[in-house]
Amino acid sequence: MLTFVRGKVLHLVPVMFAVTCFSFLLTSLLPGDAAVVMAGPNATAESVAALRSGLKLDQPLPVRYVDWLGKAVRGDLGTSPRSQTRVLESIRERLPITLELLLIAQVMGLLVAVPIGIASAYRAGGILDQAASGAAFAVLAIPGFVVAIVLIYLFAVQMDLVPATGYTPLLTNPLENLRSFFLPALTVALGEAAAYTRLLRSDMIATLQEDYIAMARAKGLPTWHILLRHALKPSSFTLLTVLGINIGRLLGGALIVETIFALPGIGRLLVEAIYARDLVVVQGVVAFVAVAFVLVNFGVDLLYAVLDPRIRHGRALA
Amino acid sequence: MAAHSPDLTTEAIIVAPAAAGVDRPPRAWHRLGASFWLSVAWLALVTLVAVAAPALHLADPNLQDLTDRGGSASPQHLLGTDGLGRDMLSRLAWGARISLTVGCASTLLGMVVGTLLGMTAGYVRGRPEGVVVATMDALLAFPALVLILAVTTFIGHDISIIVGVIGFLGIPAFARVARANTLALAQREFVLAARAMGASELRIIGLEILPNIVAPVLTFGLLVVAVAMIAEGTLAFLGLSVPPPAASWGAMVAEGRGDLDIWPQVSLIPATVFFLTIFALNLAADRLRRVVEVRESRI
Amino acid sequence: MRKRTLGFLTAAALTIAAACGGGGGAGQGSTASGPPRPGGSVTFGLRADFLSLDPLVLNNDSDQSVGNGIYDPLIGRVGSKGELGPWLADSWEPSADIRTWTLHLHPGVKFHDGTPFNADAVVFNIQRQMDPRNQSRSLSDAILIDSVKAVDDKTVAIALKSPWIDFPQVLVAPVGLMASPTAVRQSGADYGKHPVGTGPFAFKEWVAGDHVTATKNKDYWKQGYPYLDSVTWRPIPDQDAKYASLKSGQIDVLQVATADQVVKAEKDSKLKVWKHAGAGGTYVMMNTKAAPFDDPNARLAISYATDRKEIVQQIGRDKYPVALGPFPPGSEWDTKVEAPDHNVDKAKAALQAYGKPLSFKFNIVSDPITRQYGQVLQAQWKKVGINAELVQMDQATLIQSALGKQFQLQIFQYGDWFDPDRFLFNAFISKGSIVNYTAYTNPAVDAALVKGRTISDAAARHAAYGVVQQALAKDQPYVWLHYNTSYAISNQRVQNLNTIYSSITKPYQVWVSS
Repeated sequence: MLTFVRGKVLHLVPVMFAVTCFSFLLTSLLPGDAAVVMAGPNATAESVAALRSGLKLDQPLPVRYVDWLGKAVRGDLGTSPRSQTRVLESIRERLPITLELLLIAQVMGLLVAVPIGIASAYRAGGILDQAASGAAFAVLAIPGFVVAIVLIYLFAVQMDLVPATGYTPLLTNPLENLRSFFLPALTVALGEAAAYTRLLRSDMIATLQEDYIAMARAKGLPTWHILLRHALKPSSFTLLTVLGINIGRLLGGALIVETIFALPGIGRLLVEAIYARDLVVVQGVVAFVAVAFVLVNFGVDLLYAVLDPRIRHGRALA
Repeated sequence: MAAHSPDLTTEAIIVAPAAAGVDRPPRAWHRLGASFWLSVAWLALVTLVAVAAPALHLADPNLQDLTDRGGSASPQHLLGTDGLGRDMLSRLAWGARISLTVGCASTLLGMVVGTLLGMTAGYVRGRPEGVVVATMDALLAFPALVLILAVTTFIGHDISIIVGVIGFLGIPAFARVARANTLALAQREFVLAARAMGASELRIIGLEILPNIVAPVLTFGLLVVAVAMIAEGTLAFLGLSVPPPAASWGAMVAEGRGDLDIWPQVSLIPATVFFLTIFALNLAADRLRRVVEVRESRI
Repeated sequence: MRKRTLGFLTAAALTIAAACGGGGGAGQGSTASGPPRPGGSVTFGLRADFLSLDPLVLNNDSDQSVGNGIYDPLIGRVGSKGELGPWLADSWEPSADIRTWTLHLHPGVKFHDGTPFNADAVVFNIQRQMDPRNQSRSLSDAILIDSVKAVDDKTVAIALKSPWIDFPQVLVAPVGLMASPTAVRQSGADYGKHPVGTGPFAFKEWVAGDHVTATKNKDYWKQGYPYLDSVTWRPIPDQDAKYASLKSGQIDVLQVATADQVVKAEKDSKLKVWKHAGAGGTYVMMNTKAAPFDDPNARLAISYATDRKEIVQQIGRDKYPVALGPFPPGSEWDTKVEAPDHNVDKAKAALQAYGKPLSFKFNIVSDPITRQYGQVLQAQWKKVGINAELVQMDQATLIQSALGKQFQLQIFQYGDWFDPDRFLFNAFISKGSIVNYTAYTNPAVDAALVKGRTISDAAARHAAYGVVQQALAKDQPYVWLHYNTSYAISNQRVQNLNTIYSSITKPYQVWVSS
């Protein structure tokens, strides 16, 4: 177990290095730099030069990267020149929002997907399955922003149940906070629910054809028992994998949802920084997302081993 | 996950047959059903129109008529016009080329490369697995927007490049799905038995593992086709896809978004075509799968 | 004044212009009759989010709107045409060589933290802006200042590096916004989140990304102001969501409205539309030092082939005035010069004079409205046989390609300006300006621009800019499309939202009728 954990931590280092190095390289190569953006419409050669020098943009790339890396490993992610705010501060401000959106969306998605996926697989081809499949295909074919606009129109403008945009912090007013997350989380959750339902259903249909399932039935076990205790775990692999990918991705922010619902999440922070060539912010967010991805996928790998103990002991081929 | 190894299972377990006097399953054709054929017909139509678009005598998809923006159906414009007065039907036909190419080709790219990598990682384990997993994690964590901006700025906006980038970005997901399923499969009895019987690793991967991960990978792949097509639409909205005035269905939906309260059909008509195509694709694949998987649920 | 095409995700890109305001009319939104009533609060829906309220980083319509609530500038824009008027500075005068400006400060003004506003505070703020290490977003303006010092407690002398008759406009914002030196020193790097100024409202709270609230400064030095008890600003980047928020009552004022939203609001009896017809404009600019637009015939062909009316009517929903040159009709600087307008025959003639097929790359910023402009122009030019290939890029890339003169033709815009020097000098002076994107070189124009910058006689300046206008009409390095009118929409209770220069609001004068 300890080797397992140590192996995973060791793999975090090269991933962090590769991701931050490449993103630094590519972002720096893009035309335009922060000095040009900040100098504004009345830029003069002097102001651009002064800004460039202050931002150390006249130094060679490797030097700047190593400089950043050196500070980053000590926890100093630098200060954004555009806003004069510390990157760590900005991430810390926005992380709870991104986390809350992601958590509520996944819970919503799974609450729908798991029961419907199981039920669809159990009676594959039946009315529920056909309806659920149809609904899933429908949702998958609609882009997120269309869903968002329709939801805003229905719930906020017509029915006035929840606010259209904006956000109240959890500690200020939990009820308002949940209300403000309802629509954005639902927008994300619909797409995830459709995907999870399809994946779970597919894997479970295959599992239900196994002989040991027939044996469990022959032993006289009730259906719900077979479905939940014997069939669900081995059918969860694909679902779990995609869940992990989605969580990692959402930790990097959900740009469209954040923009439409005016949620100050990590997604907007990153995209705005890329467009403004604000390297320190880009690097800070990228580093953070890389860590998050590795950790989340590490968690998923652990879960594989929990769901199927044989994996834990799998050995490499010679 | 189904185990396609009849030799082992017949001798293995005492099984009560599903039903004593069960009929033989009807011919494959009949099991496909009307909805399958309808879906195939739609997909065939769309593909045909996409391929033959230059040869069909359609209106110029780029000819604007600013006096008839968001116009309703008329003899000259069978499906009306878009936000700049261009013929909707013609644009849908030309847009199909982009949407279908991007949707299918990029998914195929991600699927083939990702599955190979994932299978290898899940089967071989050890250091190769570590390298693959680390690389996939790095790719997933990398800011896609930076990559896309860099590629389109330095290489170009040609459709093959868009396909390449979206496909490339899809590789890690397929790799993870393939690996997850391979991990579970590799421990199964029929694999161990095959190895004990002296089958080469390659044969095991090809004949035992691969057929059994086809189902989850393909199911995932169908989701990815929809995602890829929508992603291209979002990219087009951000200005990162093929340059205007050319437009995919996704791009048409995205562009019409600002005018949903003035002329909603400009977004909704391409959205409907898009929807029907994804629906048909998933439905057809689902029916096919049902027929191919001969065995029934055991409860 | 911004010379950028903005917006990646916002649809209102081309109606935005920052900093100073423009001359021209009061809004259709009109103020209810009767005297202003004190009390109440207003929520403004802003176009973009911002991370700091330090004057060093204020640079667009959104953060400057908040800045106008919490801070005061040294010099203000008063009057319907945006003329400069006293604010924190009661008066100012230049030295004989127009290189040193002396300001006389209004007495008895205090910052929200109780510390006095005086010459030392002014020196502190301006030096802060001038120091390159602080990376001010206004460095391009501040760097033209040579030195600033306190002559006495109420007098400041600012020395410039070269003579500049219109320098005072720089002191309107953000270089002229005065922050409390005590607060800046105390808060250090966190100052931007706890701004302290002399303004009509004192900063109260900031919920990151959601809203900023400020409450009435009871000791505000301007007698009788402000009227409101509190003001809240909420950034809502998505156009549709912003409008939905206005309809649902979450915001009272929608800043930076698109033409479509204006059309909708005009039909809605619960809303009113405010507008400011500014001098900023949207135009197509061409690189005069590279093929094909080094040939004036090619530029003329473009100008004659462009149907500005069609663009304004169809895309702009008739909400913006057609532009043929830098000065809007009715502007005091306009000398009624003959300039090319849509004429297919003349376009074809110019093409013939050019002699070759005209095709080139047309750079645009990748946002939906600019894309529409791009496609419409592309189609208009196609009608006379000009082939433009659209190339989308993000804003930084577009600016870089403009600075590096690596473009052939691109759409650009400039924000509201009041004195022509602000806009024309850097745009068209042939030497020393990196923002002369078109590389326009004309000695007569150079001389006229220098005159306009250094001479104080109004008639002489007027004549000089007339020369510039004439030359631009003849040479067409810019093909103007339309002027950018600023629009805001509010509900019926909001009063006196006038003078939204460059889409920036000033809450000190706003009151509510219920």
